[in-house]
Amino acid sequence: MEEIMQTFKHLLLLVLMLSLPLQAQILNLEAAAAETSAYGDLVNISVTAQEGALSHLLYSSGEEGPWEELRVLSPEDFTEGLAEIGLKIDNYTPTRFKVEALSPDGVLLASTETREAVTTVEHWFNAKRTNMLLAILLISGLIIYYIERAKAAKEIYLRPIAGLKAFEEAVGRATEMGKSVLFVPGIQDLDQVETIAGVIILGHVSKMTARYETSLNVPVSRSLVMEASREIVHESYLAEGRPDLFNPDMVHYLTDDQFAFAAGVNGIMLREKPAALFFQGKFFAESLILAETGNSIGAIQIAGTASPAQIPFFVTACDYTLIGEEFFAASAYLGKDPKLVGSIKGQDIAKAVIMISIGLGVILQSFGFTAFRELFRVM
Amino acid sequence: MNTFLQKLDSVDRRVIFLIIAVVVILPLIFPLGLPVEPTQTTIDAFDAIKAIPPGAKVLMSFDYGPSTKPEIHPMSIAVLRHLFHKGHPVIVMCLWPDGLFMAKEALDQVALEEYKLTYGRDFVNLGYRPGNEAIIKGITQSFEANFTMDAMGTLIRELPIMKDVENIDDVSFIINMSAGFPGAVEWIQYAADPHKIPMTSGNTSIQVNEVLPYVKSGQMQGIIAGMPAAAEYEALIRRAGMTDEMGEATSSMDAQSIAHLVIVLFIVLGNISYFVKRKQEKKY
Amino acid sequence: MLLKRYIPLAIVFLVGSVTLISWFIPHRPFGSLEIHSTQWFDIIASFAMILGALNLLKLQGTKIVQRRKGWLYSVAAVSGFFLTLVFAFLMKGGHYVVISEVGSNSAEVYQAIGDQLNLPFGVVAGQYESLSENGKTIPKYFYTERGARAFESDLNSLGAMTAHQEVAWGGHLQGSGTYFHWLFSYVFTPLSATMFALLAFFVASASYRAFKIRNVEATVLLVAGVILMIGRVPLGHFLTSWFPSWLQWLHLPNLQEWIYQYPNVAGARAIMIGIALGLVGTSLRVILGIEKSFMGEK
Repeated sequence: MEEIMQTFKHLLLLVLMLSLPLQAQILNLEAAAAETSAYGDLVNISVTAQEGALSHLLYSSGEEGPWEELRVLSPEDFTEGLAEIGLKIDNYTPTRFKVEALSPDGVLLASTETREAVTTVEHWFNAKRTNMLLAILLISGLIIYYIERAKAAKEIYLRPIAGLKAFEEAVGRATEMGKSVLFVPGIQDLDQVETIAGVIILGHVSKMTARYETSLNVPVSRSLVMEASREIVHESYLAEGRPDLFNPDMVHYLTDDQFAFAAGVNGIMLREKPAALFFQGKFFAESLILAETGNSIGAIQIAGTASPAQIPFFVTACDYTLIGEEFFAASAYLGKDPKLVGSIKGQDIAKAVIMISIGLGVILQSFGFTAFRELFRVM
Repeated sequence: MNTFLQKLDSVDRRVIFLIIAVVVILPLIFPLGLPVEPTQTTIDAFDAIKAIPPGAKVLMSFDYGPSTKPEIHPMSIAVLRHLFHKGHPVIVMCLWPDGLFMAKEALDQVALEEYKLTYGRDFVNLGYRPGNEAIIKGITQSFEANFTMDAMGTLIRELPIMKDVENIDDVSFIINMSAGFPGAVEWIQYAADPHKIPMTSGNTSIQVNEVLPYVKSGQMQGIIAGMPAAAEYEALIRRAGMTDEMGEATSSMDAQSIAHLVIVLFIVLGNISYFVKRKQEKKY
Repeated sequence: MLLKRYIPLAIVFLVGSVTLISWFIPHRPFGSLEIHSTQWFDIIASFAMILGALNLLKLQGTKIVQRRKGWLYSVAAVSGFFLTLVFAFLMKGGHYVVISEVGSNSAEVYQAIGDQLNLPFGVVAGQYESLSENGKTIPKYFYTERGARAFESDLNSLGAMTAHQEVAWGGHLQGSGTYFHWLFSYVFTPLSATMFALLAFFVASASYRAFKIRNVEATVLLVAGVILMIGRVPLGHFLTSWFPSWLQWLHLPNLQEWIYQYPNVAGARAIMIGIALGLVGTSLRVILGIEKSFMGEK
């Protein structure tokens, strides 16, 4: 009996040994960090398995972490015995993968794991954004080039903008009437470029009010804007040699809420009846409320915004409106600094390049050449 | 007659305000029942939501406040009805502080009272987080890092609806109800377009101009543009048998229609007066 | 000079350039710099709100004390400010009752609950028939503890077992029956909606004043505006729905849709491109230190 058992064991061992190469053929696993993902965190996994077997994919985070099931690979995942899947893992975390092949009854047929842990890291450059980088370099290059040209005292022509010419006229009108100037630098915070542009224009307007000794009122909707505007107005008054006329309460905070701010500014307009109103910055739906109220008190109104939805309201209700780019160009016009004027020229050339690209794109697209359009896709 | 027409040009604006008030109030008291016919952009938004795969999770962002509630809230209610009727789990979040109150009101009305759904399983209100577009960018990486707890103070990892939802890629559709910044544009720029998640939006009529280019370029599927579109969406869900209620936007359409007509009449009158005045000036 | 000019310029240049470059560099720490810097800004802006609030109180308070013209409006402003603070941090309300056992007198208990909630007997009976271990919240919220206790004692006298609870701090901002919620729903919301509604009146007066046929462009604007205004609302469909199929292109909603989606979008896109360039130009000028007037310098 003992001899029979021994023989049986040897036979079993022989069968198992012979089947080892077959087992190795049943299951194979490869995992590597995907080169295509700029943010790392993507692993490409290839599993070769015997058809009909149910493959369980497991992973382990860290050097000695426990195995956890990731997913079960169904027969639909395999094409000619090969399954290729992409999986997201945490960056900088060595992750091992294991695949177990089970029979339909759940018996473990074979198991294999990756030899080394896979660690993904982010790339140093997102190659999919190369087109954006080139665009930024081109536009910035043009702007910087024309700034340098302007420094060389080459006079650059800027078309006259009625709204900007009217700034001095508006402040002068307020001075003659003995009334104040109201300046609203938008309702957004300093993280918006439009607010910065509005506050820059405030600097120029406050120089005029200092020069003409006109009172200035600047209600603001954000505390940081209040501090920045106060500083700018103070510097303007100092620059004009009239620090005595400066009062910190010229720039005052009302409220963060959009319509509460509109109500507050309306109240100021109706009570104090300023003669000149400047709305320069980012506005939303309250723009028409402010402009119409300003119209009702008979004040001269000059608006400037880069919010496309509000431009029609300002155009309808205000005497002058700086539309989009004109608003950003205002500081160059008012300051007359050659470097700023040069940057406007650079912007215009960049716009010409864009217009040519649009025209070219329309023609090529119309004839079915879509490759040009793909150059402008932002990832 | 000529003098009267000339004087029309400088009529006191309070007369205009009074006439507008009357023409808006009267249809609210005596409804005309003008039929609401959906336009293509609203139909596109409806179809996009209809096409969401069954059981897929939807992210809905409430980015408006009480000032625009009359315009946007009806579309939020209509869209929620559509989503819950189809059985989609809805994850709600807010980028405006006031949006939290709007979301709570809408969810209480539709999810709890109408559909008797279970919080945490069928829907969740993640609440408001300051940060504007930073939050949108943040949830493209991880919901939990940005919304550790929901609006009720429960850890989101304990909520069944948030199981298997790690970041925005685990959501099948984005719906944004917005009245300004941050809003639809930011959602398209930082979430929907880079991650190729279909999205639609409900906006105020004023904002539609800014958002429509994104609809035309295919980055957004349809748009619910203002109160007229809210009424159209209500009509669409009524026709689909999802509700019998008229909806707030539909009941306001008569008033808006008459108000628009009266404004056009004002414009015509104003121009007649302008021409008469010009003729008189030329004469003398 | 160093503190006032060169250090601020250096900070602007460094922060601006790094933030710009980090958009192209996914590797840490650049990849998440954009998110972090936006959050840092929000934190700073939140603390800066205190400055604004103090400025508001100072100005309005001075007006009240000196009885300047319009000082009553300042009283309204300051009262509103402090009232909101009190309701947010000191007084919350939001008292409610949790019922854990109905008792033997169930019919009367259900009636009492139904009276409070304005619900029919049958509905209440169905909802409160089986109660869990933790009990069930009766969704009737009281501003005062006294009110909640009175309701609780009514239920207790009918044999029910109840407990009094309050909405938690934080949740009271949106919870029902709290003072803050009352202020938000019945004061702030109607006022905000009213201000927004003013737009309807102002649009009418602005259109009446501005839409004059002065030249060709103004005429085109006028015609487009009229088509959009009428075509956008159900009235437009009503007026032209009878058009035969060959005239459907004149159907006001179709015309409106075409104007909205083609000329309007083209114009909006052009303005957006110009604005984007303006943004790039302004940002570049600020980062490179060419534009210094935001610091108060020429």
